[in-house]
Amino acid sequence: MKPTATKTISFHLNGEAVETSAAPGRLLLDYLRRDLRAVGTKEGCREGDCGACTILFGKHNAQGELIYRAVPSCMLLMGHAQGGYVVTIEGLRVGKGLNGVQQAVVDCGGSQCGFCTPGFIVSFTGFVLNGTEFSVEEATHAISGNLCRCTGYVSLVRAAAALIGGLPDLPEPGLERNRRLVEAQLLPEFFGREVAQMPAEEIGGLPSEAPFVGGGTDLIVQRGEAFNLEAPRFARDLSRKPAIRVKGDELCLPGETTFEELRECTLLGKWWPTSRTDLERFASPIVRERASLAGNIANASPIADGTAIFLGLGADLVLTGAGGTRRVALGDFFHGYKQTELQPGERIASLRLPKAQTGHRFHFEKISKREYLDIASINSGLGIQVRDGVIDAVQLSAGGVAPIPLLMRQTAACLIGKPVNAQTVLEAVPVLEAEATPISDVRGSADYKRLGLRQLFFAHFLALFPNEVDEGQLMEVTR
Amino acid sequence: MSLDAARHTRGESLFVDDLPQPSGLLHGAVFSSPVAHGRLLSLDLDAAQKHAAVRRIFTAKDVPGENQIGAIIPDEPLFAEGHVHHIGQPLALVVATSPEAAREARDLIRAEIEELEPVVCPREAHRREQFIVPSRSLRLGDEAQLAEAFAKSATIVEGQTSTAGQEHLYLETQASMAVPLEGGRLRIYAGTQGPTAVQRVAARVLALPMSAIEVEVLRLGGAFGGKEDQATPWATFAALAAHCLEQPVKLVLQRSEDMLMTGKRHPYQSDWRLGLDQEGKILAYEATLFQNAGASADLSPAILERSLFHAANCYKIPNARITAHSCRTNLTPFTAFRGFGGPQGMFVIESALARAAEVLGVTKEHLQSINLLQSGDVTPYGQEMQGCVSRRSFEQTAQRFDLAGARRATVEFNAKNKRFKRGLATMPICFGISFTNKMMNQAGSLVHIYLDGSVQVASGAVEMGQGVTAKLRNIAAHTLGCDVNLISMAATSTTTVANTSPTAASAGADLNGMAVRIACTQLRERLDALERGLPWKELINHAHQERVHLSSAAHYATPNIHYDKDAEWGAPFAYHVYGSSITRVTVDCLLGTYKIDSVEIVHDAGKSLAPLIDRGQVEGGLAQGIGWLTVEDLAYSDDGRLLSHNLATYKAPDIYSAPVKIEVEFLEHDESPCAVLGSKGIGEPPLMYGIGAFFAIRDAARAFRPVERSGAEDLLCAPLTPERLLMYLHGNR
Ligand SMILES: Cc1cc2nc3c(=O)[nH]c(=O)nc-3n(C[C@H](O)[C@H](O)[C@H](O)COP(=O)(O)OP(=O)(O)OC[C@H]3O[C@@H](n4cnc5c(N)ncnc54)[C@H](O)[C@@H]3O)c2cc1C
Ligand code: FES
Ligand code: FES
Repeated sequence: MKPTATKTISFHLNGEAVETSAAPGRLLLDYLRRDLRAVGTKEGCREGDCGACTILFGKHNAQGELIYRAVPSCMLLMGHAQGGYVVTIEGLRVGKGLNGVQQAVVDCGGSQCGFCTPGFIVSFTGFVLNGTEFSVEEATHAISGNLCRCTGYVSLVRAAAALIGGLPDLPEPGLERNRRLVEAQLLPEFFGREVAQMPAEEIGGLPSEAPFVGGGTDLIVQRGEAFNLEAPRFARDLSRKPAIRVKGDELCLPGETTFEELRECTLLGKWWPTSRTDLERFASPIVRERASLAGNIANASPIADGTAIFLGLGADLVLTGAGGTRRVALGDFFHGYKQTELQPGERIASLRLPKAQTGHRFHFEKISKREYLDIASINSGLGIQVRDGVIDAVQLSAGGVAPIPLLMRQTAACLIGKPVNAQTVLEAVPVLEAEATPISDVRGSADYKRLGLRQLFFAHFLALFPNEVDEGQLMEVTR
Repeated sequence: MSLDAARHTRGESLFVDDLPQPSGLLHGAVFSSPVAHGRLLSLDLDAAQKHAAVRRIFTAKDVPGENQIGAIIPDEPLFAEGHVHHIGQPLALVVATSPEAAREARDLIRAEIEELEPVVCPREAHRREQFIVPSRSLRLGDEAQLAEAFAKSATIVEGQTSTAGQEHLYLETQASMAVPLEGGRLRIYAGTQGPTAVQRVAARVLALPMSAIEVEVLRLGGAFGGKEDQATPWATFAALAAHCLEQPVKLVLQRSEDMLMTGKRHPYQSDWRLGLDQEGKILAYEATLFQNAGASADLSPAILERSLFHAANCYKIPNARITAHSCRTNLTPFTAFRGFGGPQGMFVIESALARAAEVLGVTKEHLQSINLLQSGDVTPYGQEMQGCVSRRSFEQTAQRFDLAGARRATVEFNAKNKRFKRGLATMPICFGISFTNKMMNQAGSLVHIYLDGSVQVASGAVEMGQGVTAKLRNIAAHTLGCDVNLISMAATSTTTVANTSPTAASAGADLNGMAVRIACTQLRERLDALERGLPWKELINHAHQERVHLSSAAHYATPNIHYDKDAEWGAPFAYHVYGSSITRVTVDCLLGTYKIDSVEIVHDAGKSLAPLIDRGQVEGGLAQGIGWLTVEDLAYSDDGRLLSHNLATYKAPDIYSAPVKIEVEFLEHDESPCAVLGSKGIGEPPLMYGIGAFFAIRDAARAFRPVERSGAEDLLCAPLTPERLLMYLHGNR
């Protein structure tokens, strides 16, 4: 498809308005580096995996305040930038010297070859702008989507400590905080300006066969430069933050909710108490800012974490399209490898979590080569209801063991009605292993995945029922 | 801190792809073999040629000079001809008006290749006698003495180990830009550790004199050995196209192109046998190393040599025979990577000691400690150790970080816990400094003092984050006796300092530092002959009035090193670097995952020229070493295709894989008499502390599944990924 329209995209860059007729499907990274020659932003992978291209991307919150978040500019299409506020490393310079973030990194030896450094500075700045708790752990978390091959990170952790030590008292994220940071010479002056919200405008010609983009974190990787020539449809109106809300007894999660929004949402606790820490293992903070719930599910990857989690939580999907709105169980959504219930033109409007039952427990676990910022080799979620010591209801999901994200119905059936103990768990293992049909690939051998699934299954029970299920008994089993 | 650090944090540092673009700049993309081994029947360029943005497509027949880039052995064509020997071997270069167009057109090229059977395993290549160079053996004592020593041994252990390759993952991918100058000359802005190598190969390929080619390097976004020889083809491609089209041409590899087409650390396999006496003292060691060299030599012969030299690590071994084969396979030629074969050699003896400790029922640290080298001991390559602080560093580590207490705590923890097990390993190191090729141990410098008192220092050293420019600047200021802020470092260029060795072998600061020191000493002597006591600027002004030469070029060649390859005997190293570490880990035996709890190090850096830089080198090297042996997993298909060729599938350490705690102490030390201002080389040795992580994880795994229960599985196969570990802990036997 040819690029539609010579429609201009307008956004702000480092405090100045920019208008361009760049194709909406081009990477913001390419536009910055190639068209504007703003070369402080580096390209290390074009896949969201290294953070060298990190920029700040600002959007208005519900209170009309401009909130900047660190995101990889290789995970933003020009169409996404429409109406947004982009700040690159060039825009963080304060005078000719070093701002507090830069000084901390220099003093602690946090920059060797320097190729990763602009990305780290931007991520640290994102932390200073948005942090709610100024601890080394939180600062480390904020830069965990940035790879550095030279330093071994220790000096960057020292820099985090130095940075925190030098911060002034800060109010809640927002304009007041920005102004305080400008005063402290941590940010340049334009951060302290009040910025009116730009009217949101649709970008792209909207032909229905054009690819439908959420955050783009899957599509950009899959399509690469082919996107330059397409006019994708953008799912989310930049100006509105989708609201997660309780509707009746149900929790309603808009499809465009990003995984970082999900992580920060406190409503989830009733259904999924460990959401905050579990989601730390989903991609990285900068990628989670982009990755959407609907994209994770619609992409139909057998190892998607969001899918495994919501299968385990027994979610339903609400789909909307030309033919109206309908509701399907997530467990019935996947038909085959990368085949789903979605009809052409239809999209995932929201996810629904059924009424939270008392005594319901949920656990998610994933095994990946690297603990953080890695796609799962296998993952699994277990939602379980126990009444009077007897298993009453089970939703068990498994990713990476079949062409689709699997709802393990047979294994679940074999648990129902049994007491919660190691014996029950062990009796279910043959069914579990028969229900999984993993294949060998770059993320692990079939044998490993089958074994790993059993271990995840054990891990669920050990985590949820530490008193009922004997660890020793499960640790003893070999194959 | 690196000299550039402030600029880096402001996003002002320029890398090749950031340089201002000359007008008329064209862009290249490389088409490479999709097949690991085969006969090239035809190359269909038609569709690509029709692409509107394409200016020209180059293949072997377009090379004006020699189609040859091999450095040690001329066995590697720039463009494959006749046969292809690995996936990713370049076949054609597409030059177009934009990089996207070049790649788009590149993807229209079709190669017709008759597939031949590929060999990917070095043992298989060995069986077929496919060698890069003749095999080599080091010996201490003759065959009869070796046999006798084994016969006398109270305990003999034997086994096999393997270590996999490693992707450099320099954050800046390979990049070069070539700009035609007048009169057929060329300037190449290359992302290389070896400007002279690029100049020489480009001249050979273009049939130009070296004097017609300038190579300039401002800085590299990481290299780690991956831009020593492996930067040459890309720079040469850019040069070829710029020369023929008379237009500037840039070639920047995207990450997955880089991962597919460039060489990595050599995978090794090995067989070994170790004999010990009653107390655990080593009597005899025999090892055969099978180096997977890939499809052509690259730097493999030199790397093989270093594997041999470091095969005994820091242990006294009275009788030894260590043999190494450089095996030619159908994988992308493997290349230099921090440690340069040394870590692969060390891993083998550490494996043997780990097994021996199990058989003897003692800790590995005990065996290590009673076998350490001392001054006066002779290595299997014939060098008598001098200033050897192997024992001192081991003992200081043990005391300072309470090794005995740490071991006790580990045992106690493991007795109480089922799911989680702790492991511990000590890792003493001894690493020789100097290029093992004597000729390369030379360097040059050029220092100008300008009339206003400012100074420019040029050398052959390339800055890649290791802080060499900051060190050279300190040396210059110290020697000239002027304010360090007056000194600026010139970009590395073949026009200022010629015929340089690559910046490698941990010797960049040693060699270039000496050359800078000599040049500055000469200048200082000239100034000292004048009136004394003048402030710097006035002194310089006065010197100029007096017609004193305010520029100086100098050359340094490391003295007293020699090696006889026929006898396999000599003193190839100017000196050795020592150190010792303790690594502690916790393994989740349910899931096969692990966390590095701490690494505590006492490192011998001599008299550090820049302590913050040296600390950074230790920490960064350690992280790379840990990555190599734990999560970094190059997955290949049976037909020689790299499966993990992007960052989504190849996992290098992130901030959460870093050890929770790292402590680095520098060994209190008499100055090293052998390197500049009493310092010691620092780039490579710390990587080998990473080996401790492997053996600490293995230690924990053995605590969960002891030897008696584990049958033949020795768990001596790296990397120890969560997959390998889980299969070991719970897999079938
Ligand atoms: C570095 C990196 C790390 C990652 N790590 C993880 C990880 O740890 N775990 C994990 O599960 N995933 C991971 N991912 C994958 C990806 O981020 C997620 O799958 C993400 O949720 C996709 O959402 P998106 O909005 O970016 O999707 P997009 O790329 O925009 O779209 C993906 C697909 O969904 C469709 N789509 C998007 N929105 C809708 C909608 N509302 N209705 C219907 N169809 C829609 C698109 O047409 C497309 O087919 C990672 C990706 C990257 C780049
Ligand atoms: S370039 Fe690596 S995250 Fe964008
Ligand atoms: S300093 Fe080189 S990658 Fe971070």
